[in-house]
Parts: sequence; structure tokens; C-alpha cells
Amino acid sequence: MGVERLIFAPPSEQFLHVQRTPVEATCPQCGSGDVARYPVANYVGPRIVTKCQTCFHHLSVDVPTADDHWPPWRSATLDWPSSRAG
Amino acid sequence: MTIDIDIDDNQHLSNLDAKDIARRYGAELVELETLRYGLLEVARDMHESLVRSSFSPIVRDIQDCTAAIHMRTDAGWETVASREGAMQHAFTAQHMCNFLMEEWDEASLQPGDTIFVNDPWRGAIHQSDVNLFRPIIIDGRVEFVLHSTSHVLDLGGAVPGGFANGVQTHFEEQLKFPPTLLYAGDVPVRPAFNYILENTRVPSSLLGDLRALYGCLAVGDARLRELVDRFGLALVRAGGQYGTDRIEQSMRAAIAALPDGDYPVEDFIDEDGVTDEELRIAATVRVRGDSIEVDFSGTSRQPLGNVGTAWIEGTRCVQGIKMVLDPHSPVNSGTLRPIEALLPAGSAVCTLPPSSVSNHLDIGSRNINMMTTAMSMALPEHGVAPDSGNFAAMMIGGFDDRHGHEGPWAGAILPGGAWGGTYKSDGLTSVTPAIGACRSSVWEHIERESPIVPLMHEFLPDSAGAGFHRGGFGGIFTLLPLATTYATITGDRSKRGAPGVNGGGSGFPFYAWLVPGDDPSVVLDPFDLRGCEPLFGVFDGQGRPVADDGVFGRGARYQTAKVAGLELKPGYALRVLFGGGGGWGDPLERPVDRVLEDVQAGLYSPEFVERAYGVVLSSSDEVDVDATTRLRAELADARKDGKWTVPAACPTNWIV
Amino acid sequence: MVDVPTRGPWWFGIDVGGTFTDVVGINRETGETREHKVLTTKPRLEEGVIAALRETGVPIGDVAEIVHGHTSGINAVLSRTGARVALLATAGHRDLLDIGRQDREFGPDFYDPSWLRPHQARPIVKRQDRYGIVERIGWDGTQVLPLDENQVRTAARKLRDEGIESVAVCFLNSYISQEHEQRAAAIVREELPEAYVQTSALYPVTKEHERTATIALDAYVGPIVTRYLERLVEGLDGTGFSGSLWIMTMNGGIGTVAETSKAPVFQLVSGPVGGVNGAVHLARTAKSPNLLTMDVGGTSTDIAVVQDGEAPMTDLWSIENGLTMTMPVLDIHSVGSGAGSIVHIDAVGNLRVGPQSAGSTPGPACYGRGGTEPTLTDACVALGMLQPDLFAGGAITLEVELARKALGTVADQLGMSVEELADAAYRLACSDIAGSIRSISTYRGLDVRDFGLLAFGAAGPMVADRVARELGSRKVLVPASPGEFSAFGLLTSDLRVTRARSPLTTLADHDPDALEVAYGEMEKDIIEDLGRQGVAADAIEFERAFFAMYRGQTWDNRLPLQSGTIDSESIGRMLRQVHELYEQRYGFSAEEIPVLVSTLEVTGVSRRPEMTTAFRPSAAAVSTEPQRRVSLRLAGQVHDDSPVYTREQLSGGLTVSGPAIIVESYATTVVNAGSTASVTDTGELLLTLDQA
Ligand SMILES: [Zn+2]
Repeated sequence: MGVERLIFAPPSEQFLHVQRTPVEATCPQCGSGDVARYPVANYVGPRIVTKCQTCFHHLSVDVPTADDHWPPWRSATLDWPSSRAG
Repeated sequence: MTIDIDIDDNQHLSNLDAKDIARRYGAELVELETLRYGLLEVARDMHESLVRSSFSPIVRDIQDCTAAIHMRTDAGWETVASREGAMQHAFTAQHMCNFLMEEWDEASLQPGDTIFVNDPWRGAIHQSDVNLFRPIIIDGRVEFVLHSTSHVLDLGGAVPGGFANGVQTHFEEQLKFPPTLLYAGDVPVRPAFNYILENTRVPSSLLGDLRALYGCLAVGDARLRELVDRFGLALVRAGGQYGTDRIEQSMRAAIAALPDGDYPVEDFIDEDGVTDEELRIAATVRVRGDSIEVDFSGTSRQPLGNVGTAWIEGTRCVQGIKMVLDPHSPVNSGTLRPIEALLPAGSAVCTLPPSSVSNHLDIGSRNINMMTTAMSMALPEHGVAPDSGNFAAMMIGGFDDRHGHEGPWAGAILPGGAWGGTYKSDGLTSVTPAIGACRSSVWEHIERESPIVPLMHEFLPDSAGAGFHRGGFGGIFTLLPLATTYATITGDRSKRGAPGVNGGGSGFPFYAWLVPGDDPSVVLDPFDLRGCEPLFGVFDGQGRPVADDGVFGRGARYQTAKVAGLELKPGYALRVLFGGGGGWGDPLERPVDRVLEDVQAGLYSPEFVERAYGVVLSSSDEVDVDATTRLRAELADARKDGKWTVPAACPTNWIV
Repeated sequence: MVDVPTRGPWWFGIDVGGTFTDVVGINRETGETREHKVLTTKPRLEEGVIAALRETGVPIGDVAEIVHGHTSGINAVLSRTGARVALLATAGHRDLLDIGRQDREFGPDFYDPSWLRPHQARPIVKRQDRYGIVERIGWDGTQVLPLDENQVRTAARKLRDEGIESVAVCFLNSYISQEHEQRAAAIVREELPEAYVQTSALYPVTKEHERTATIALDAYVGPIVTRYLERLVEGLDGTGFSGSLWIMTMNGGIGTVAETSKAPVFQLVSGPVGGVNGAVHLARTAKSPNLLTMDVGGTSTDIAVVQDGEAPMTDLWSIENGLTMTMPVLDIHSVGSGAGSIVHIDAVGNLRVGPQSAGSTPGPACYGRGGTEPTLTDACVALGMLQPDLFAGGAITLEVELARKALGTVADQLGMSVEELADAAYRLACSDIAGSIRSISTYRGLDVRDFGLLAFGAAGPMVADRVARELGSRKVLVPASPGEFSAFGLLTSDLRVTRARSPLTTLADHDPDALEVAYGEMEKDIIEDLGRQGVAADAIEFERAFFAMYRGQTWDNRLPLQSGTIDSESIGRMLRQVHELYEQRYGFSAEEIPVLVSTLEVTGVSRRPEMTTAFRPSAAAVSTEPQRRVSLRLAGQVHDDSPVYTREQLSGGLTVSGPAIIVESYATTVVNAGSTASVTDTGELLLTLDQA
């Protein structure tokens, strides 16, 4: 991981939307088949949730991996060894 | 040892009695309550220590500062107690701590280490709000992180004082610090201090505030350890967990009482200080059972100017929801748990680096107004009208040449704003929009330490949105410089005032002028515009403010209310007029004696109450009842036919 | 010593509270005491005072001194029944009282959008009665804009036409120069010779909002308080009283009616001050210099810290949000937990005790006066602490079943038994009180293990042992007649006058001689003041203090100044005091930053003659047998056959181990398992706790 996620060009669309990716699953809570996976800010920070769209039951709450690009930016030194000063 | 408490989505404390609570937390209810309050007391004590030992007016007087305690849990780091000076801090603190602790190597931490962060892309509000974190190591592991935060007067960059209006990247804003070790084991890290102090315009005030921010963490460390020594770590942790679970339960119970549904809301920011493009902030608030999702999809792309924010809106929105659903409990992690936000990357609520984000005030105020509006849709009997939407925030500074005071100076002034009318009462006058709740400056202190004279700070008549419950009144602030002073003004709702709800009218918009300062009678009359240069606002052809039909920026120096580098010369005063809150409900239904009271107090003019409330006065103390009944009926009919709407609040007796 | 002729052996303390007027007398020759309690007579408080005095049976001619505390001022503020006040403010700043500090009070209403600042909802000075006067004094005391005298005169004539009887004058920066204020006040007095007029001369310190609030409040209560005192003097004259009448003020001192009437706002809340003064006195006589005081009444509990035999002062005191006074007053805090506090479940589902209270009507359910909501008193009945037939000297017989029934309504909702709920409510109330005491002790850097808990007020002894355990304190003291201790305390109060000036200069630059001169001038002023009240100059003790902070700050800190003439070494000592205070209280010190002296303060005290309490250890043999045995539930444990003793038995030398109950006429002391109770040779009931 390097410096490629430090500076971004602004988007070109006028208005932006979060995409929800449909997931093949059945909600164990309410039985709905309307389940989707998408990035959120939950109470502790950025997460990727797989969530029933009918009742908001969480099928999973995952800490984003580098590939999730959530949030888009990322420290250049995240996987460097730490010194006494951080 | 830790107590693991497993509460899944569907089993909440409401079903538990004292015995279940004792079983669940391994402690008695009374002990849990004692510790819940014990932790709040530690936060309160840290906050008081910070306020009383700080140096800049923005901390010691305005109290834009907060102390919080985060605790290690299975989920990460959760805020178990906070004493917030600015309300928003209580909602944004937890993410910052998690960003920090995920990134920092815990193994390298030692007692007394204190870490400095102000990076908006790591959860800070804007670079001017600095955060100090002190991990508390108990038996070899970090168990708590103490957190102090405050706005500081200057951290370098192109624009003094932090609100970098007109710039397009964070490089031109205040210095941005990713997590940086400020004290290593209670010893100041000299390079870090040198870097900060040699890049600010007011090193003395900044050093003082940094010491106070650090000192209050040391105070909190000692207090928290007393608690742990006395009760044991397991019990203190159980108290923290219990306290957050209780608040979560309270929020969820209130959400569950809302009808499931999608509540779409939007509001606007006039422009971004760079282009004249209006910004749309959109959100759909989805209520399902006892949880909420706030989806900001549909929001404008990130602006060129500094009016977007990087990350914080996802938790700042929770404040507006809490204000309607659960206003009376303290804020901790439990407040945040039932709510998730969707932030479109690259939009105004999730701007990508290196965007500029220093004016977070306007978008933050809109966010909270939108959430209270959505809650009002879900719960119409608890409606709340939007607030004035700006603080009339001013950062000022320059070089003081008074004998004995020679040197650079900087100050912050938040003359205030007003809240909207509610289902229950008129709106509050003289209060910052809801993200803040900060205090006013002590003018006698400001005058002594800065070469300025605060000539006027009063209510602005005819500025409150009309309604059955009217909004709070806006205000007047007039400042006379004694030496050349540079001012940054940051505000919005300058094209139109705070909207009303349920038939209420909107408040007066935001204005500013330069006023000749030699004749006190002119300076002290806010409606006397002779010789005044309009800076921004909505005007008619004669230069009179008109809230409903004017043209924004007509004849004014600026086409924005986000101004930087405004030079104020001795002899000319800066006057700002800021609007009131929106009205709630039909003004034609407001009891006439309440309308008369406001006229008698000089808050509304007879002309305005006739236009907006349909109340006709026969003298300064008397209502013409018959004429009022007639006029109210006429206006109601005209409204039905689409020929009348409640006029926006606006004074009428201008002298031009 | 006060230089007044003695006219008789009796001294009386009279405390007019919200519900009761307490009168306590001591015969200085015999040590005999008399007590009487009547319901407070509103609105003519003096009637109750005189009736109660008469009821004691002491001939009025035998009364030499009366020390009086009352609440007529605070009642007028809370009920908004004060005078119609006009405020003359600097033009451009007439809304200061409504703006307050522009904040929202941190607490339960912080996030509530419908909250209104009290002065906006219920003004002390209405907006139409606030006048912006064109004038301006600058930051350095020079004139920026001259006073518009014509405008003042026109305004004054308008006030006269409107029948306004009280005028507050407060201009910006008048802490430095009062020239404009005094001139404006003089014009008002010319036009309205009958009006009550107050200015910053009351206490000329910085912070315009707090100063304006103080002056406006003074003008608001001034006419009421001074008229009440006039009626009281008249009424006492009518009884033939020819002794001295002293008024208790919030700075902890007493003064003559004439002197205290100059600033009646200083006697807004003077009753609880008596309790703290009594505690200070007890701390000295009982050789227990560190006390946490706890005055538990029906609706609230007043708490304070007495350290090294001194009561702490504060210079910011809030009645309600936006009405904060700035003046040195005794630092007394009030908590909404008392014997009548209601046990309930709050909106969040938590068990709570208070702040709502059953008051005296209907009172706790067990009083049998129609109360149905359970109170702390009911919980104590259910736990076996309060003996139904030994309560309030037998004036009320408590009904156990009513208490249990009321508690049952809440217990059912929580799935608890009545006893479990009573136990939880009792502990929660104790915990609330302990938490508040902790916030002014533990969280102020004090180690509570060095402190005894002094419990008074009728309900104090009932909760003291448990509160002490929560706090970690090991010693509880219960004074004689705990229910009337505040009235007793009035009798121990000294004459006290404070003077201050605000130099706002660098400490290190101070010439020690000039500093000595400044204190000397203020002391001379105090000598004159106390002289008018009959005090000889050589009878005055002076206590000097200074307020200091680092340059660039505005929150100053009050530090005691070592006694003796100020010399070159004093300055260095003062600097060290400041740095040490910062290190201890704020977690840092900054020795390279100049220290500013914001205020020099000196208090002159004329000590009153020592009171000899009536207590004498009983020589007569007393029974060591308990009066009865009861089932007592303490901290979740049921103790069957717990003994009940009378306080007289302990005064006779008996030492009792808990669990036990000790009853006296108007109070019940609970002794937990692990505590021992005895009476000290100065007459206090002492509980020694085995562990925290
Ligand atoms: Zn589902």
C-alpha cells in the first residue's frame, strides 16, 4: 500500500448515491429475500453491512478490507512497523 | 478480567428487572448506577479543568470544548461518558477514537502518552477542532482512552482562524495532523510542539490551550484510576457497559414507537463561497422496527469551496434524531448504536481529500434541521422548525498596537442564532444552532485583550419566523475595531431564512454591512443604513433588506456570506444582522395577547404583526379585536385561494 | 468581641424556611436551650417569627440578641413576585439578561428543542423596562462615549410615570470606572426620590452578564427584603425587644439591618448558611476540622465541605440558568433528594428517587394524609428504620401498611418485593447524595477518608451511615437537635465584611509595599463599616486572599494569603502557591507565563462570643437495655431483633454496635452492622464505621 489513496479527483456527477448490491439470501429474522450489501458508517466507524432491507436485521457487519475502498482514503503507512513515536 | 455482555438486536434491557440486570452485568443495580454516574463525573471534572485552565476565549468563555471517556468493548472503542460543550462533539468523538486506535500500534503505548489528531479524514470535525487522546493502561492493556477536544484560534494555513472561506483544498486550511505523539510518557515531544508553535499566528494562546487540553487528561487519568482502585476494573467496565446499554434501550424504544417508513428530506446551502452553485443536501430517513438508516444519497457532489465535510455527518445526524426522540438522556455510544448512515463518497457529506472542509457549520446545521424535520414527519405531534442555520461566526485578528498590549492577537465571536418554534413552545432566542450550544464571549474580557469594541449585541426585532409558536429572534452584532483588523465571516441562510413548518413562516436571512463609526446614534441604530456599505444579503433596488422578493448580492460587495480577509479599519464598524428560527404552526391562530406581548417588548413591530399575524393594533397597548378578526379571516381565505402566504420575517422601517 | 451592652442572658437564632420557622434560644448564663417550630407564615413572615419567639416562653426583655436567616428574597425570585424593575444598560446591550451566556444548560434539557432560558420565559426585568443608555467606558476606564444625561432623565421620568419602584443601573466596564453609573443613578434618584436604586457599587467585578444579573436581582428583591426587615424590626419593637437584631448573609457573616439592607441580594438564601456556620463551629469545638456537611430536609439536601475548620467560598452562584450572581458566597450545593423524594421509574426505565417531592402536602404515604406515591420516608418505614410510634416526637403516627402499599405499585413493575424495592430506593437515594458530596470532595481532590460526615436536618441521621460508606468516610457525627441545627448555627455566626478590588496586574511586578497599602486601605474601610455596627477596631480579624491566574486566562483562582505584613518574600511565596495549585487542580503548571493578580480580597471578621452548648454528660444511671427490638433490613440483609435505643441512653455513656436504631425527638439515626455509636464529650453522636 502506498500513497495512491491520499488524493482524489472530485466526482463528475451532480448528485451522488450509495449503491446497494443485492445478495442472494433470506433474512433469518423476517424471511424476506430482499437482502443487500453496502458500506455504512455505523456507531463505531466504517463498516460493510449485509442487511435485510425489509427489517434491517444484520446478516453480517464486516470491518472493511483494503479492497472495499471504504472509506476511499487510506493512510500510506498503515502496514509499516511502528516506532516509539507511532 | 472483562465482562462480556451479549445483547443481540432483539433482546433489550426493557424486559429486564433488577435481578436480571444483576445477573447480566455481575453487579448490583445500585453499583452500576454509581459507576455510570462516576464515569460522567470524571468527564465533567475533566471538562471543568479544561475550561478553567485554558487560555483562548473559544475554550474558556465560549466553551467549544468537550471531554469524553472511551472504553474498550468487543465492538471497538465506545464512548461511555462525555461532557460536551458543543453538542456535536458527543456524536463525533467515538469514531475518532476508533480511527486512532485501529491505526496506532497499541504495543508501543506507554502511560502518559498523549496523541494529537485533527484530521477530518480520521473523524475530526475540521482542522480547527483539535483532539488529544490519552490511553489508560491498566494491568498491561489499554482499557480506556481519555479524550479532550476544543476549537483552537489558529493553526496556520492561508486564512487566519480556521474558517478558510474561498479556498479549495485542505492544504490552504489549518495544518492537518494525522495521529501525532504530543507527549511521550507525560514528557512533551519537542519536535511536535515546535512544529505546531512555529506554524501558528498565536503561539501563546495555542500553547496555553494545548497544556490545558493535556492537563485535563492528566486530571481525568487520576480520577478514573481512583474509581478503578476503589471498585475494580471489572465493575467499572460493567458500569460503562450498563450505562451505554441503558441509553441504547431508550433510543430504540423511541424509534420503535415511530411508524416504519421512509422519510425523505432535503435542505440547501446558498453557495460554497467559490461558485454561486447551490448545494443540495438530501437524506432519506428509513425507520424499520427499532433501527434507523439515514441515506444521504441524492446529495450534491463535493463543492469546490469549504462547505462540505469529510466523514462526520454520519454520526452528526444522530443528534437531530435524538433531539426529538430522546432529548433528556445523556449521550454515549448507546445513542449511536441504533442508527447507521450511508455517505456517498465524493458527495458534500463525504468529500474526498484534498477538498477543503473548514466551514462545517452550515452543513452540520442543515443536517440536524433535516433530521428534526424527518422526525417531525414521522411524529407530527412533535414538530420542530429549523434554526437560524448560522452562528454569524467571526474569526478576527490582527496586530494590537495599544500600549502594553503590542503583539498579534486573534479572537472568535459567535454572536449566536435562534432555534425554531416547536410543538410546545416558541423558539429559543440567542443560542447557536444545534451543533454548538456554545456560550457567548465576555465582552469585558474581549475588550481588554483585543483592540475592538463590541458596540452592540441585542435581539433583532421582526426577525423571528411567524407561527402559532414563533421562532426565536435573531440578533444584531456590531463591532468597532480600534486597530486594523482582519475578519472571516462564516454563514449561510443568507438567501432565505430558516423555513417554518406546519404553516409557520420563515425567519429573517443573514446580512452584513460596514458602518461609519463616528456617529454613535447611527451605529447603534441597526435600521439606519445611511452611509453603510452592504457586504452581503438580499436587497431591493434601494438597498433595503427584503426577505421575500429581493435579489441576493444586489449592490453588495460579496455574493456570498462566506468571507475571508475582510479588512476592518478604525472608524468603520462591522454590523451583522442574523435571522431567527422558523415558525411552527399557523400565525393566524396565535393568541392575540401573545402577539401583543411581543409588540410591547419591542420584538415585533405593529406593521409586521399585521402582515404576518393578521393582528391590528389600535394603540401600542391595545388590539383592535374586530379589525383583527376581519383581517385574520381575509388572510385565511386568501391563503386558501393561493393569494397569501405567511411573509418571511423582515423589519420594515429601514432608513436609506 | 461585639461592643454591645448585654440586656439579658438569651440569644436566639431564627431560621425562616420554606415550610417551617425554627427558633432556637440559648441562655448564655445557664446553658439552657429552648426550641420551637411553627409553620412559616406567608406572606407576612414576621408574624411567624414573633409568634415562635413568644412560644418559647422566654420573656422578650431577657433576649439580648437575635440572629436571623430567612428566604423572603429567594422566594420572590422563584415565584417571580419581586418588584417591577427597570434596567439602565449600556446602549446596544440591554438584552444581556435574556441572552444570558447564550448557552443551554448541560443536563436533562440540553438537547430538548422546547427548552427556554428561564429569563426569556419568566423575566426579572421585562424588555420594555430595559433602557439602552448612550454612554461607553473603554477597556482602560477612559470615556469612549459621554453619558447622555438627557436620555437618562427622560427615561427616569418615564419610569416615574409608569410607577416603577426599583431601578438597576449596570454599564459595561463599570468594574473599572463607575463614573457613568453613579451619575446615572444620581439622576434617577433626583427624578424618583422614593425608588430603590442599585449599581455595580454592590460588587464591582468583571463579567458583564453576571454583574448585571446580580444587580438586577438585588433591585428585584431589594424592596421586598428591606420592607420585610422594616416590618420585622417594627414587630419586634412592638414586643418590647430592645436587643440587637443581626441578619445572616450568604458570605457566611452577619450584619445589622442597616448594613445588610445596602445589598439585600446577599441575603437571598441565608438559612442554609446557618447550618454551614454551625458545622464550622462544631468542627472547631469538637476538634473535627474536616467535615462533609449534609442537611437533609423534606425536599432537598444541602451539602458543603468544611476543611481545616473553614467553609469554602465561591464567586459564581446560579439560581437558575442565566441568573448567575458574582459575589463571594458560601459554597453550598443543593441536591434534589430529601425524605419526601418520590420513588419512581423514569422514562428510560431506571429506578429514581426524586427530584419530585411529596412535600408537606400530601407528604409521604405513611403520613396517612392522602399521599399515594412512595417516598424515601416510606422506604425507611418498610425497612424498619422508622418506628411508627416514635416519629417526630410522637406528633405523627406512621402507617406502615400505607407505606408498603405505595411502594408495592413501583415494586410490581420491577418484579421486586416491597422490601427489595425499599432497600434499592434507600441505597439509590444515599448514592445520589453521596455522588453529589463526592463531586464537591473526591472530585475536588479531597480524600474523603480525612473527613467526617456531619448529618443534620430531620432526615440526615437516617441516611448518614450508608452515605458515609458509599463515600468511603469512616466517621459520622450527628449534632444535638439535628432538626434545628441550622437555627443553632445562626448563633455561631460572626460579623463579616468583605472588600475587594481588581488590579488585573502581573504579580511579579508588584511592589510588596504597594500591595500592603492596598490591603491596608480596604481594611481601613472595613474598620469603618464594622465600626458603624458597634465593633471596636481591635476586635477585627482580617483574612486576606488573592485571586490569580496565568496571563491570557480569565478563570481566576482564590488563594489564601499568608498572614503578616507583605514583604519581598511574600511575592515569591504567592507565585509558588499559584503554580502548585495549577499542577494539582489542572494537571499542568507554566512557570514561564506571568501570573496575574485579578482581585485582592480582604474579609474582616468580628468573632462572636463562644456559645456554650447545653450538653452535659448525664451522671444519672441509665438503662443499657434497648427500648425494643425490631426487624431491620440494611444493605440487603435482614437483621431480626435489632435493638432500638434512645439518644439519652448513649449520652449516659452507652456504646452501641450496629445494626441498631437510635431515636430522639425529631430524628432517627440508623447504625449499620459494623458501626459503633457513642456520644462524645462535646455531645455529638459519633458513628465509627469499621470500613468504607
Ligand atoms: Zn428481515
